Amino acid sequence: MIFSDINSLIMVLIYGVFASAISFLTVYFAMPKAIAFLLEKGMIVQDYHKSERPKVPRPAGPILIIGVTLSLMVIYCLTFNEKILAILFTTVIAFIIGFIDDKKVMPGWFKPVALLIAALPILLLGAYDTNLNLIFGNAFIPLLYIPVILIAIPVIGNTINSIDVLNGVASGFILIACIPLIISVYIFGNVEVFLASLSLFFVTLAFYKFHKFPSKIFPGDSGTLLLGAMYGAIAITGKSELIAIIALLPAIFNSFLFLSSVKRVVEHREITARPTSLTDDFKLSASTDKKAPITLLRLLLVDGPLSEHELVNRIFKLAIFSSILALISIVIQYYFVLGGKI
Amino acid sequence: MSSLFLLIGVIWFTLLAISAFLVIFIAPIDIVIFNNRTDLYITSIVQATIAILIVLMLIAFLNYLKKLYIQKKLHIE
Repeated sequence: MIFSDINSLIMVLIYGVFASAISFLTVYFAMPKAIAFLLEKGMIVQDYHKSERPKVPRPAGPILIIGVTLSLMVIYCLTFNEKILAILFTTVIAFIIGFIDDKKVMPGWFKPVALLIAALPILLLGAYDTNLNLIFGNAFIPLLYIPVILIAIPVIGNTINSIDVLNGVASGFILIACIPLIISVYIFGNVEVFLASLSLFFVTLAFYKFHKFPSKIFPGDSGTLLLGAMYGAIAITGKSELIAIIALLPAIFNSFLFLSSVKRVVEHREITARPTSLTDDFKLSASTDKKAPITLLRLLLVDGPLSEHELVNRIFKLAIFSSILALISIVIQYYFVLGGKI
Repeated sequence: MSSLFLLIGVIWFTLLAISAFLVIFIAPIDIVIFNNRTDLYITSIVQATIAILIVLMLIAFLNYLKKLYIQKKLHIE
């Protein structure tokens, strides 16, 4: 990203503060009202990992999509960049798919297959570059890039959906993984997508206040899919695909472990043998059942039972570690791709 | 916990190694092998095929790593 003069830098700062404030404040002030509304309507689920089994409202997706849409519409009105429209449409389609899954129990194949549609706006609006940044240089892949986009959005959407198993994990993970993504988009992408990445970060930051342990609201499939799809769309349009994948490595590893152990695309609720179980003092312990799927949670619990809060902190430590690896990768890519010049 | 950090580190290093291989050997394939005389899309198809094979090899390698790790930690196949 090159700023020709100080005025353009100031404009970006103003736009950035404006977009961030809209996304953050919308979610921050609307979420308590949404929680009250969902409680009143009885749209609640039990939190099974706590002794008192509190009833937690769900989904938070509709509020998140309002925050994202308002922010991205403002960025589009200021920049008229089609990449912003592509990110917005991808996010909205992912939200609709998730919302359908929130309202009606859909088969396991539904989300990955339906998320292919969410990838289409990026292709149809031509909001991608045929040069893939590969840390040590670029690869010109005009043909291969189209299936890469079609695979990336469903994979990242479902990855964030799969990691949403404990209070605050999905939102906290996105927050941590957003930091290297924002820096990468700033260096290797363009200013408009950089503003969109700020929007994702601040929407998630405001949501994390309500989703962190102990959760006051759950995101639902609509929330996790929209966060994952938006993260993927920003990575593609901001030329930061590999950096984004590295930052998400523990979550991707979790999906890989689950899929390779159950050997089919299936919803977690369809699994009879659970990967973890609750002890009498409401700690989580790894299942000893050989038929139970292998997940990141199960591996984190092999050394002994942990409370939900301790387990969430361990997942965040892994997320911080992979984000540090992504930051190292940015430094390497900076020297190989840009030759040390922004 | 430390073994999980190590595993994530190994996966990251593998990704970097594959990236370097793709940039050094596969990206300039039109010049090195085809002497810059083939159609852009033929070159792309060859590059895409090699890249997909490498990704499949990466998945097989990750599967192997996973099996080793799980055998050590959970004592199951």
